Amino acid sequence: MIQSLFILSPTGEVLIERHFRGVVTSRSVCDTFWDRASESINHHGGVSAISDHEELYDSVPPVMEVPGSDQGTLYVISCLRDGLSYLAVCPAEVSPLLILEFLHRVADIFVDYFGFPADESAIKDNFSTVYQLLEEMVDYGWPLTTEPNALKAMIRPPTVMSKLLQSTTVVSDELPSGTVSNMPWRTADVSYSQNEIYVDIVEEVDAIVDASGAVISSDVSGSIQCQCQLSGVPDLLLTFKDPTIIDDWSFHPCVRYSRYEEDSVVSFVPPDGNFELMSYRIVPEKVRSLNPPVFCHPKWNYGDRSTTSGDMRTGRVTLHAGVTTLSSLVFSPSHKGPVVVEDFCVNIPFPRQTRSTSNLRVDFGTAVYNEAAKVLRWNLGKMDASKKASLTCSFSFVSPKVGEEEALDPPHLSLNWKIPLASVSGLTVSGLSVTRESYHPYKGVRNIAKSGIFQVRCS
Amino acid sequence: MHELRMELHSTDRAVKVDAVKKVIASMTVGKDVSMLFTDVLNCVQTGNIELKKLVYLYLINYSKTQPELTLLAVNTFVKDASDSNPLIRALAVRTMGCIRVDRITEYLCDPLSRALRDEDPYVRKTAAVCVAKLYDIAPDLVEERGFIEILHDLISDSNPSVVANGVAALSEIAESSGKDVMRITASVLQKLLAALNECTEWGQVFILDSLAKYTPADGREAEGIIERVTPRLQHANSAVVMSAVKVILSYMELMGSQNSDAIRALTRKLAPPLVTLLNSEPEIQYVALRNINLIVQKRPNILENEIKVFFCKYNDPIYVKMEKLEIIIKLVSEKNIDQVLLELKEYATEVDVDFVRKAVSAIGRCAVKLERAAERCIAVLLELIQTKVNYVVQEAVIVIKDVFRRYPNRYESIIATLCDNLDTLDEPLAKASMIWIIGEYAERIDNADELLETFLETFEEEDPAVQLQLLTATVKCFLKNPEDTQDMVQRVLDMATEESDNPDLRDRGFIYWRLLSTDPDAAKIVVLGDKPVIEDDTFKLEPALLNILIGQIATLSSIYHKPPDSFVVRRRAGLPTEEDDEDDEEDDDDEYDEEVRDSGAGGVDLLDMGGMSVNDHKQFTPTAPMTRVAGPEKAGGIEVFSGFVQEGGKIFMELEFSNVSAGQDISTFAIQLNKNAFGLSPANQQVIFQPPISPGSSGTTRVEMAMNPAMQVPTPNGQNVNPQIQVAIKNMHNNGVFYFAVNLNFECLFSADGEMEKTAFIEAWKSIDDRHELYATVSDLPADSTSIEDVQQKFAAYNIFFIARRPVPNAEGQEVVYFSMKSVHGMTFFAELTFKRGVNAAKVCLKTEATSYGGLAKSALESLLRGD
Repeated sequence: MIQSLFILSPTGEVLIERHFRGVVTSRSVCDTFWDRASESINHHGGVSAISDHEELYDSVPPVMEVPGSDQGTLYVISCLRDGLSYLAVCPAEVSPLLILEFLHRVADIFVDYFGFPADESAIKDNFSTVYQLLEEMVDYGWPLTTEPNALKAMIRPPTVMSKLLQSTTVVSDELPSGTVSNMPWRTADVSYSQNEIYVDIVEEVDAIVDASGAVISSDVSGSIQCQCQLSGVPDLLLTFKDPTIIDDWSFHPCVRYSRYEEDSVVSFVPPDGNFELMSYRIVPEKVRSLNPPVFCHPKWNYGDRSTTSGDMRTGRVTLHAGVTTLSSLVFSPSHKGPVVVEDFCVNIPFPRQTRSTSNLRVDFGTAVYNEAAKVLRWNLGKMDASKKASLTCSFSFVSPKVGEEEALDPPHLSLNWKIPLASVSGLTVSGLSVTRESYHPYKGVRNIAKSGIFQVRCS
Repeated sequence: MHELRMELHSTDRAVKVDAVKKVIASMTVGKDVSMLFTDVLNCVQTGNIELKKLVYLYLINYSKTQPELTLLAVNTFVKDASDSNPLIRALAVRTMGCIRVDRITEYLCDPLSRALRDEDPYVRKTAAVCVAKLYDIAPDLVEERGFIEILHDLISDSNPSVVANGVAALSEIAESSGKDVMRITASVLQKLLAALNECTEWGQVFILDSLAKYTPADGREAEGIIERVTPRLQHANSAVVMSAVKVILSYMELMGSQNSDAIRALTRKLAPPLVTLLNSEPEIQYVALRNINLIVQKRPNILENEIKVFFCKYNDPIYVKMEKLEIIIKLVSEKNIDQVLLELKEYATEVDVDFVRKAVSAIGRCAVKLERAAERCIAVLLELIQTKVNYVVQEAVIVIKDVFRRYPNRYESIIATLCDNLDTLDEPLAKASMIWIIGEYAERIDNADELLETFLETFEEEDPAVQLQLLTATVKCFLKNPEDTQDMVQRVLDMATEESDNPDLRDRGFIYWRLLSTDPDAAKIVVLGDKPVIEDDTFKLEPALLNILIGQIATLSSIYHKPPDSFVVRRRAGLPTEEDDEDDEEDDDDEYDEEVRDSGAGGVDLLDMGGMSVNDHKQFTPTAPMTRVAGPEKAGGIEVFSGFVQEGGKIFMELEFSNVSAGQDISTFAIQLNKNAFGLSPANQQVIFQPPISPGSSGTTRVEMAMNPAMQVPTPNGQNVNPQIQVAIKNMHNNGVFYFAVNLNFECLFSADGEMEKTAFIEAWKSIDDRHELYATVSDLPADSTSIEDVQQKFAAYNIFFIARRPVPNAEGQEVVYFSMKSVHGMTFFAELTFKRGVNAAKVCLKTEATSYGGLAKSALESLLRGD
């Protein structure tokens, strides 16, 4: 199991160090890890910055062997979250997935306690809470209490008030009721004056589309996100209109799996607050016929290829983007009017050799070029099918050697978009009932379709 | 500090809490606050949990450095362990387990055995973990007090979390001790399956992992368990999913063929959860992909229709892309090849060089795998060559060579295109591949001799692999077209046999020369003979190994694709010298006993050496420091460990072979050493393992070495000797030959007649110029290297002789010791070691006339001191 846990800052400095098994792991393990990590910082020449959260490095394998220390070979299992590297050092055979899931859980809990992002400054401001949390979450290198509710019952999150009063945390004297109950995710004494539950059915479309708009591969992953503020210990039953259109579901531990197997209904006692109730995929037939709701056609022109290498050359990129009327989305009955895409945004990475851009013109939205990352971000905002948008931009770049013209091929565009009240699957909730409690809560259910990793190839 | 102390004694609880927090804050930044120990300890007399937790945190931290002080806290622990609040009881037991002080453990036993039977499940659950902690410190105590039996009882506990922790504790004890303490009986099995549905996600992983080690009695039982485990595939936690997959795949083996319908249904159920894992965070994807790699080899039909989910996204991390590519190649079929080729072509235009190369190589592997699609693959490769991107062309040439070998005489039409790109090639492997093609198809290339001629111009500067290929290609060319190439072949043979100092090249040169001059027809048969056709199995694992690994899904072994005992269990035995498997059962503390026992009977007569009493508890026999020198991929399915040792005045090379996947019992080998700096050569070329090594097991043997001046490569003065010894082993079962290199551990060459008179030593020491002194500092010495007596004893076993010791004047606690040693070649070495009491480090200073060997002798001393 985990012998030691380290959390490193974005510059490789050890922020948190905790040893669980009486053995003190030398920090040289972190140095070895960081040497490998720094080799690959900006490995892709800044291209990886096109993802939403900027990654520091991306070629360090998550499981690494560190030989030659005085304790023999150690295995470093790591993950990167909000710029921080979480390192678990294990001396012997272990389930790496368990460790990775646990590290992500630790990072989730930090977000829960300190807000998003749980980055270097969040950790530095809350050292003592971090140590207390780790103390509760790990015993002898084994995951102990990882349910947010149970932890919050033991260690209260820092609040503005407590920060003002300088007493950062309060530890409860009572054993939280959830720790060993059959419902570790819920505490018994929850009480709200206004009882409400919101259910969001979010479907994310991952796709790779070629320059002409044809879909090369696509996948849709759905999840049901709940925001639950219900008093007492309510028992909920969620039913779908057509459960056969979803496939391969996985559930929060609170869901009674056998009920779903038998009747395709989701029966559960919810945790308090925000949580993911279930995730699912859509039956392949639906995905195969997927028609994306937006399009973006790129055209790259590299100018005169006969220029000698090393010289500056000028190229030009033209993009046409818009909303299609032919999408295969299913809209909720409450949806009225034309299809409106929200938060529509196109990220355009330029070739590595680019030195500068000029003549940037858009006839819709705004566009900003990020000099350091060599990425142009085109913000289209809200859009419907009646509008067409185009962008042109010239760029000058160093002409590559003859024979390396291919190296100019720009990386893929990535698209972000969101359409409220729509889904790919057409999954609809037909009922949500509360039993075991007498009140009648406010219930809100809605669908959202949005982009996951949605890429357009330029070649 | 005084202020803090006052605050700690304050009657106001808030002030106290704050003070302890300040103490802990200073502690975490490394300040010494141990003088406040009693003051802090006083604070523990409180009902306040927060304060208690803080004090306990402080105690754990100082327990290592201040064991006596920690004992003062024992009473508090014992008292807290019977507190009325279960949270305090659990906290006390948990903290006591973390204090690794021997005398504390004695007091721990009673509270622990009460806690294991506590009425509150939270306390029982905490106590279960504590048993594992205690086992790590005092395994005997745990067995004596019957804690293991109590753990077994906990498996039948009514609370699922307690069951899970009990299982986890037992599994850990089983792994670290090698004993089968985690027996699963029919009733235990039912308990585990019942707890599986209700315990936490982490507990589910522990239970599933222990289920995977269980072997069901028959197919029906297996099917029953699978049915109970299958719902776990729907869990949100990927660790639970993967462990469930492991159980199902291992048990499926037992279901037998009459159950093919059930197996088909299961196969369908396994695909979606595996695909879902690819929507997780990239780190999780990576581990999942490494495991899927195994699964698709074992049961290709599970994911045969899902190849698209393995297509790479542009911003996938590189380690994810590489793994996806591996799986794409494994899943490629005639149905999807066109789509895959489009993808691979797309990847070949990306920025990352490694990924691009792998994509290009993948296209070739598709060609080798799918005969009917080979032509399309080659068309794509040719298209890529036209881009003239340097590394793309080189990789393409390398893989086209394989395609030629797979389909001889089918695609030579493309040779012309390849020849157009000769200038691009600058990597040895690409050059060698191209030259092979030219030689093999010399008769179809009009100007083959001219092309070879251009390469020959730079013959001497080429990499050995290219030189070998050039030699062979030229000979092939000559045999096909003797008239025009007579001069060329003569020149190459001259260069290979006379001007080169590479033994491989010279040998091959001589063989060709002799063949050509004595019997050209025989030469034709040998050089131009039919070559075995290659298959696309180079990247597949051996079936036996694969079966082992399927049982190890979701573990580290499944990531490294190595059998579990090859790296993890060995390590746990705490022995850096890779010894026999039976050692795995031993605990870390018993290293000495093991070393003595393992070296077997006979050998060095310790009692006469060094002139000291060795009747006390420690006794040293030299052992060979074994290192892994060749893996199964190189050595025909055998993993090789090697090292050198001297015994009874003879030098032996110790060999340990693990039959990973050689496919049969192995016992007979022949060995040959290349010339080396020490003149070592095997006394007998035959190597026999008795009993023969069956697949999956390993064996050890030793080869006696003789000193042969003819085998010695002289090292020029002023240069350091290369400790490397190159070894060739021929497997007599299949005539396969493999090579490895091992570094000689120099101490095995010290001879028994290296002892010197004190006066002679002093004179010799003085006579050597100080400029030839070599220094090293060895820190973090193991416990047995800190006392001079122990070092003296250990060194004596290696023929490193004690001369004298004396305290260093004006430096209290420092002492120097002098040693002499002599190699079997007659070189003498003198060493001065400086120790300081209480510091576990030593300074080494070494003098010798044989300066080129000095560095080796120095590092030998260092590694003996370090005990590796």
